[in-house]
This record gives sequence, C-alpha cells and structure tokens, in this order.
Amino acid sequence: MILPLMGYTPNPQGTEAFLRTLVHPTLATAGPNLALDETRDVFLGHALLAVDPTWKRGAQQIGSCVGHAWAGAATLLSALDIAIRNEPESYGGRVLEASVYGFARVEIGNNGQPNRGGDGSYGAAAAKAVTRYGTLHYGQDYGGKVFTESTGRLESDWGRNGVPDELEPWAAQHKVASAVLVTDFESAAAAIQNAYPVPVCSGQGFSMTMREGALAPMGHWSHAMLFCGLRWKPEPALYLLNSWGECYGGSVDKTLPPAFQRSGGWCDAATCTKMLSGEDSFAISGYSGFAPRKLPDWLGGVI
Amino acid sequence: MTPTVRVAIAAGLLYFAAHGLPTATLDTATIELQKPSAEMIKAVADVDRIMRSASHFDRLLWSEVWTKVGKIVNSETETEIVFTDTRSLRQMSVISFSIAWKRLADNKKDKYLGLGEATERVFAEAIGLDVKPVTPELRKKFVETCTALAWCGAGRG
Repeated sequence: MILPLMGYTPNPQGTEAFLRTLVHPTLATAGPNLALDETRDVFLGHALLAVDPTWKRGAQQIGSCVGHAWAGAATLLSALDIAIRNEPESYGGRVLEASVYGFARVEIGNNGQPNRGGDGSYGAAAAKAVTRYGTLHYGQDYGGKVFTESTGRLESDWGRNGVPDELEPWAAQHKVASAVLVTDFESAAAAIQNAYPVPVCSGQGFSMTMREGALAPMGHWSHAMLFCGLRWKPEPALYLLNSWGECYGGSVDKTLPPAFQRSGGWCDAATCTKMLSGEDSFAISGYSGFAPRKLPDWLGGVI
Repeated sequence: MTPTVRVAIAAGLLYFAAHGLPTATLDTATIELQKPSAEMIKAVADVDRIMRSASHFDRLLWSEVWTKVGKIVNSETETEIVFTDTRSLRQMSVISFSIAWKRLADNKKDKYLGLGEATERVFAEAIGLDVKPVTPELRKKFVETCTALAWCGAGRG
C-alpha cells in the first residue's frame, strides 16, 4: 500500500529571506540567454540511468518529501554534469535524502538547534541546505559509516537533531552551486531543456491513476516533487517525479524508461505554472561532484 | 566484484568449459574473424605485429578470447545490465585472460615482449583510463576494440 506522505510546510518569510541573499534570484536574471525550443522534448532521467543503470525511485517513509525531491534533484544534477556537460567527475551514488532533510529542518530551518520533531520543510530551506551545507551519499565511507538504505527513522532523527557534526565536512565537499527561483512553466521548461532539474513545492494534488502517463490534477497535496522532463505533444507538459516509489496506476507512457513509468507522470503546462507560482521552487545548477577515478590499466599485467 | 559481473564472468568461463580451449593439434583450425575498420587496424598495428610472431595455438586462443569478451559485452540489453562502468569491463578482460591465457594455456607474462604494453595502449587510446559509465557509445567502442584485437595475427596461416 502506498502511503501518500507529504511534508511541504510553506514558509514565505524564510523563502523571501533566502531570495534576498541571491545575486540572481530568478531564472530570468540568472540565465537570460537560456532559450526555449518549442519543438525539442527532453527527458533528464536518461542521463541518470546512463551513470546509474540500476536506479529506482525510493519511497519516503515519513513526511520528508522535501528531502526526497531535493536529494533526487541533486543526484540528477550530478548525473547531468557527467553525462550531458561532460564534466570530469565520477558518479558518487544517490544523494542521501536524510542529509538534505536534516540540514533543511535543523541547520537551516531552526538555526542549528534541535526541534521538537514533527515533519516537513520548504523549498528555500532545502535550496539553502544543498548550496551551503552540501550533500551526503549512499555507499560512501564516512569514517567507517556507510549508508546503504534510507529509513524513516534516520530521517526523523536528523530531521529533529540535524545532520551529525562529524559528517558535515564530507557533505561540504559536494554542494550545489546555485538555485534560482522558477515561477512558471516556460522558465521550468527552459531550465530542463538546458539540463537543470527543478524541484517543486506546491499544494497541488493528482489522481493516482494516469492516462498514458499523464497526471490528472485533483485535490490538495502539500508536497515536494521534481520536474525533470519536457514534452510538447500531445500538449506541453513537464514530467513530475514523485517520491512514493512506483506509486501510480493506470496506463503509462511507454516511451519513458521503465524506472520512471510509474514513479511520476506528465503534468500539463497550466498546472505546472499553478504549482510554480507559489514561489518556492528552484532550478539548480553546478554540482561539485566526485573526483574522476582512474583504472590502473586494462589487463592487470596478465599478458 | 558485483554479483552481476560474477555472473558475466561465469558465463564466459562456461563458454570455455563447454567449447574448450583451442588445442595445439588443430594446426589447421580457423575461426571467422571480422575485419576491423581501417582506423582500428592502424590502432592495433603494434599488437598485430607482435601477434604475427605468436604460435598458431596462441593466436587462436588470443582471437577466441577477445572475440568472446566482445560478444559477451555486446549482448547487454537495456533490461539486463551487467557492465555498468569501465571497471566492470576491465574486470571482464583481466579475469578472462587470467584464466584462459595465463592459467589454462600456461602463458607467462611477457611471453611475447611488448604485447601487454601494446594492448594497454590500444585500450587507453580507444577508451581511456577514466572510470566512467558504459554508455551505448562506449560499449560499441569496447566491442570494436575487442574485434580489432581478435583480428591481430590473423592471416599468418
């Protein structure tokens, strides 16, 4: 059974304060030359599968959607830097959702002080978390500690007490360079077409049953998700990745890779703009990835 | 080593177990080799020169192993991915030659002087030494390289 866990808690003052710290707060000012080609479809998930063919969307266990949306965005950005921008980096694994969530709720959201528990965060807090504190990853060795799975318990703990101080230096090595506000479909489409993912926080809900991969807007979800694809036909739409595992029923878009067919769907342009107009969604760019690794040789000195 | 790489290597070894190594008595044995592109022929020129001095048995073994390594890597599908990055391709090559060339055929390192270095140069130039994902393009290049290496020494009789 899929539990529709949500945890977007808007904080307009917090978001406004974050935006005031940015030299270029919006995509329009940060990337004035980003052109939008109204004939070109893109699906950023291909780059992720190129560097991590076994990738599957996880399912959050608590109201940590902001952590999952932003960790997914940072993971995707690292893959795009490698596969699309050909940056000399290596893939370091999926970003640990608990790290983004913990930094957003405690180090950013509560001035580093433990809170009283509960769930939830907001987009600008996560933006500040990944740009100021950075990210941790699954599978990396942090002084003998290796995270292999995300648990609701870990997210609850870090969401309450923050990311342990001893892990912060590792997180600081892998930051997102910038996050800029995206407020409508066209801006998000331009960002995605230029290989910048857009984590979105909104109150928009959807039916859990898709029609050929299209999401039907319905109800209210205080939820964070991730825009990471663009198509123009049959109608302009962005692909919206959820964090509830393979959660959607109905008929899928079979042109998508299987790992993305039921973990997200296409959201029409008007609904995208409605979601983005809440002014707590960002395009992210420039991931400080892992140093390229070298093979010692190809034949191990056998011949 | 990941379980999937182990499975791939096991598949390679099963091939040799089932079909056996080329035997020294098969002096007239031939295998069908695909002629590489002119570019790849140039890239493997040093290996070709060295392999022309190799025994018939070793040339046959060399060709068989590279052909099969290429074939196994080329058989990847989108839904059943074994070789995820260049580390797994290297493992496949190292283990295949450790078993077929070194252990079963009992060939010592440097039996053919310069062969190891020349082969390393071919891979370094074709694919490089970075740990990077196996994209369709990289897989194609790896298979082309294997095909060209398999061809080396061919036609000497």
